Amino acid sequence: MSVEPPSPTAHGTSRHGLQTLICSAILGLAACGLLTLQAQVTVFDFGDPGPDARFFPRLVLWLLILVAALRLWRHRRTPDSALGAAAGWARALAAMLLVAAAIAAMNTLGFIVSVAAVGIVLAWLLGERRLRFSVLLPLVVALAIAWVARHGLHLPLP
Amino acid sequence: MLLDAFHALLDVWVLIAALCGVAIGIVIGAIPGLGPTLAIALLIPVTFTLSPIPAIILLLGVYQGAIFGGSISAILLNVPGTPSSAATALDGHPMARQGRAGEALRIALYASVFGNVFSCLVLILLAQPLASLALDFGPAQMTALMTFALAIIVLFGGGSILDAALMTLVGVAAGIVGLDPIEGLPRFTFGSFAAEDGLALIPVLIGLFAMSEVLLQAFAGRQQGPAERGIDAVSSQTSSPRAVGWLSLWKMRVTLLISSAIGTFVGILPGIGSTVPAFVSYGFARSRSRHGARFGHGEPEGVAAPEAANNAVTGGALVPMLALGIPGDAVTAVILGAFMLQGLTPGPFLFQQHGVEVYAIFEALILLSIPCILLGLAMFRGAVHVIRIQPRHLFPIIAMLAIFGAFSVNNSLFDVAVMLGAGVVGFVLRRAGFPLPPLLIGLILGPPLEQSLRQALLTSSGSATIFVHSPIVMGLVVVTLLCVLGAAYQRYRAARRERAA
Repeated sequence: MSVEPPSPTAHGTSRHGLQTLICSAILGLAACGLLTLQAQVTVFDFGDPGPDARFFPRLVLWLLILVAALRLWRHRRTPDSALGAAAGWARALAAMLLVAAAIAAMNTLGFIVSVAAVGIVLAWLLGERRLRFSVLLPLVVALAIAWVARHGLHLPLP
Repeated sequence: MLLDAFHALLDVWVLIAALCGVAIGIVIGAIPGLGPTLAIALLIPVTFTLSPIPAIILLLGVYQGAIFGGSISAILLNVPGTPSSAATALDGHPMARQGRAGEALRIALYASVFGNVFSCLVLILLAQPLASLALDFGPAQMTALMTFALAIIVLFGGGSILDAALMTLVGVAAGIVGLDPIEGLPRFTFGSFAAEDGLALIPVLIGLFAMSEVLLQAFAGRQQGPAERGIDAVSSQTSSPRAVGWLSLWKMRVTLLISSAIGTFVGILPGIGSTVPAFVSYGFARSRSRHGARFGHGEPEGVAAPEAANNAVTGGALVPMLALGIPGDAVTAVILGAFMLQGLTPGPFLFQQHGVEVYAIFEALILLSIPCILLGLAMFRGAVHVIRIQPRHLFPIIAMLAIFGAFSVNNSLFDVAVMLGAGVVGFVLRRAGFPLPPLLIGLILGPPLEQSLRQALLTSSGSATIFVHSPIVMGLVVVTLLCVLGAAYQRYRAARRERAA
């Protein structure tokens, strides 16, 4: 049932795959962070000795750039794990958008409807077509969570 | 103190928490793919209304139960419920195939309990003195200690050092978001008031370990569950008449002791987890056994050794977490989050400020062995049915619980969005094979590391000599350098062996 992290050979290999992409993204984000550090962290200098609020982020972002660049260079000739099937990415993206939509609509639709919708659509995405498991089970679980939250944990749900 | 702590345990909620925790842990551990980290992260919201002692006992019960539960599917299906149970499957599954599933499960259970009690006794002996020692630590020493912990996680966490370093730094960088710990200035909040509190730990945990698993399942699509692969052949033998007597356990006493010691010691070191000690103790038991040739073909000692070791990690990993506030692996990082939510901040002051609670938790850890044995024996057959649950039924429920869990921390939809963001990051990183525990530990240790580093530099007016003048700091630096050399030597040897092969 578990989905093991893919090894380069498990899901096919490619010259530049997911690891290269992630490493490049981290490198790019760290560089952006470094470039926008002045704007994102306003420092009021009262002449105190020692490092200011930009010191640690600058240190970490430089280290991040260094390690990401080193990894990209070190693995430049290593076969990378392939991106994987487009259908899989489409399903994962659909699941992400579904949860994002549920979060956005939760204040309007309420907790039970939003969360039940997440459960129903996810069950369908995972291949469940029988009504009692794809509709009834998520609905019952959503109602049970809401009941426990309100009466057991005294949490005000949207 | 110990008596006061015992009195604190005489509460019906403690009993309920222990029973529920162990039962939930065994069930979740038995389901391949759902480990203790995910279970504890999802259960944290349930503990909000509980007082600290039952709340922590519930989560520690889940931890203990899940580590043992992982061996059920390892033995019956040859599919380890948790990664640390992989070594158990080497002999456990052949035993099940020989019609000795019941015997293998009982050995796994008793060895688990032995390892757990052993490590808890070490925890009681070591944690308080270590915390007292750490009371003398100033900011410079804490900086060196946390750098040492992060270095160990990067060097010995398994897999590529560069990948672990990258993930640790990503975690530390994520910890920068929010108000800075010294001057309270907002950093990378992009004008959002909600982001000034930083990334809340619990939503990030739930996202990294629960939501990412849901997204991985969505990526994989409809999968065949274990039930469809046929488990009936071995599952019917769980109630085999061959009971495990005290004599057979007595014959394994040295293996149990050595494996428990390996598990406890490795558990104390940050970042290594419970998989490595399970395999190390398996190899050690095989090398010193008179029946070494039988290992891998259904030798009971081959089940006892890894089970004692991976359960002994439980108590060992709690030593640095409770005494120094340094989590050893992903599970202890989640438990650390639960401690903080209950107002029990792990670290040197924990024993001074909450001594009764801490000792009550220690005593409860030992006493948890009783429900572990009772429920373990009672749930062998039930667990077989749990393993049959299909991913397409389970993961929609996990997604729903994840949304609720993230919301319940601060009643904030921002936290749910953080959980989803962490889930997406966790999904992409896991797809690419990057390790998540270093990221999580970097996120937890990043803010206190910055605080200590800047405090140390402020007290020395910006001079780095404060680190050179402290013998403790220099000692930790030397140990860190030795670890770097050790890791380099280990890699060199592995590469040479590979070339020779």
